[in-house]
Amino acid sequence: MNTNSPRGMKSHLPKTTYEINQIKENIENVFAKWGYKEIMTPLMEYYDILKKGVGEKNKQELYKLIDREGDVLSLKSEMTAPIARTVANRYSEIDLPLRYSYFSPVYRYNQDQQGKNREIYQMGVEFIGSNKISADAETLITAVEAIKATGIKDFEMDIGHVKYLEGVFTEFDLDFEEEEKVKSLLNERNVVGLRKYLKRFEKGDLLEELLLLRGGKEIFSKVKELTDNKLILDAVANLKEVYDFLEDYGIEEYINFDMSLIRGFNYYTGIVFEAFNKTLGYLICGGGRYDNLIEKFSEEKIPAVGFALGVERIRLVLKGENIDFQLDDNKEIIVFTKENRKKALSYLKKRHIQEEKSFMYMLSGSELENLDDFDYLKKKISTKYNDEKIARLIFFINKKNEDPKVISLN
Amino acid sequence: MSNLTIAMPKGRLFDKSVDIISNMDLISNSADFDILSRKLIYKDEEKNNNFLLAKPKDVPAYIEHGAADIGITGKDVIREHNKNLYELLDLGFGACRLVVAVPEKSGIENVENIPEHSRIATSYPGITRKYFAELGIQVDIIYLSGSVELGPQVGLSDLIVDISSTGTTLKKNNLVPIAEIMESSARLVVNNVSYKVKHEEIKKLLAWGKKNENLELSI
Repeated sequence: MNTNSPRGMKSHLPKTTYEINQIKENIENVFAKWGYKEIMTPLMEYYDILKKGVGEKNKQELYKLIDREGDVLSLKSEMTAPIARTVANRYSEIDLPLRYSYFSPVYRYNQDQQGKNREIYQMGVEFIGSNKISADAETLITAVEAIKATGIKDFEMDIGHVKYLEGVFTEFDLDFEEEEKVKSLLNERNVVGLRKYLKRFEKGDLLEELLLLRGGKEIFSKVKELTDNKLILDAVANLKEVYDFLEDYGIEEYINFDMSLIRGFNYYTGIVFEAFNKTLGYLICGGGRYDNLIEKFSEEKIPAVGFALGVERIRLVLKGENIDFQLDDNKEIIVFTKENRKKALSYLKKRHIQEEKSFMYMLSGSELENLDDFDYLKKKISTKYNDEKIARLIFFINKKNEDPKVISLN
Repeated sequence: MSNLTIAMPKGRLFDKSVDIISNMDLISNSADFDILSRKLIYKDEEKNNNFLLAKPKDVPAYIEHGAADIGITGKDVIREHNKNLYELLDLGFGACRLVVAVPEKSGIENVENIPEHSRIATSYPGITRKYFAELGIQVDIIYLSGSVELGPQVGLSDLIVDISSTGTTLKKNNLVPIAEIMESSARLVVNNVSYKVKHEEIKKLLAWGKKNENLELSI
């Protein structure tokens, strides 16, 4: 029998669980401030639903199961498709716009030996029912504030726009096959392949420059120098307007533009963004606008924008930045003999009302023969709880009705 | 000051990699590569860059997990390991081909004539599996980490998939290439986040690549 946890999955002991919960709480506070309400969706969805979200290329990363009816189910690998499906189902019951947030494990059946988890804790939001630029901006601000709230300082947010790439493709008159090739080379981050491929186009150099453009707000004027294509300029104007919101709010220091940004999911239709920690090289957040996903599950065309944060990645970044999680974990032990049990337990009850962490220890065996030797008892009991922070022992061992004896261990 | 961590490939790609890295001005002339080969890690104080020495096939792992910002390895390795990283420049040297080779006496002249369930020894199981799956030929793959050409001689495998630069090793072992799977050469690879955070350095490397485009192929 294999007694390990399945590959890519692990149990979290109290220390890590506490750290994850701290991160969760800090992020939840930000989500709540921006008016988000948490929702839950099932662990499993029909395979076809999730496939719509992840696309043909990543569908092999879905865990698959077959139910009694012979339908194929999958463990959710991200939360956007399940939430889009939920909104589509319940459309008649809900008023738009919606602000939904979540905390959930998601499952990715990735290739072995990559040092990657197959169970990933994600938090995120979906802002559903608005196609306004203010919704894009608000979502980006929420993402930046959520990352800041975890304590991470050294991070950067990259923003791109799906329509920008579409504009570039029209400007240079790429056919469908060429578009797919360029997208897949960008997605693979294969610059060598991209540059070789672009040589076939008349203005390959310009095309390359537009595709690999990245930087701060200076790229707005840079693009105008390079092209007068309306689609491209519209996409850039859209980004500029989002940027103005971010500047007015005062988070522009975190923002950069990466015009080649293609997120793995194929449902994005507008801005796309991802945030990463600069020292450890981890992506910690990804998201964007998806105006056509919900209509794949219903008649209604409902625009939406959202993002997800990787909780475990954030925890690793915080560990790397040596941020200390203060675990308030002092406990006390109520030690008593059988005769004093009633007195001890009523005291323990009182301590719990006072919000103390107390638990009981009834003396037995050789301990009862050494009731006068507090050093002996202290040593015996505290070695049993070596891994815990025990603040004090509170003894109820005398027959006489006197106050308990308190021995502090700190 | 660039402050990059650079993964250098051990073995046949090493000398040319050093030439390229100095041509890119990433290492000082006084650099001591004896230290690198002895300690596997070396800091070039003058250029403020760190170097580490790794097997070419391990370079992508160092890059993907951010242990190094940039590195040099073969295209064959990149395709086999399929890691998440930027392939930034084709450095031109270390050119070789990944080929299917059969024993002379087998009489097989092209891949279509390879019998079903032939056993193939290779260090490139991923590429090999994909190649034969696309051809619709079912084969059994035996992974070997090196000296693959030994396989057919001792009856371990019927044929091999391996890299070949001049063809002499194949010939010496009575093997003939019957198909080319891919061409390979050394590539400069970059960690995803380093590409963004150290973009000024990356832009310089891209510019170097453009300037030396013709040189690339002749080095």
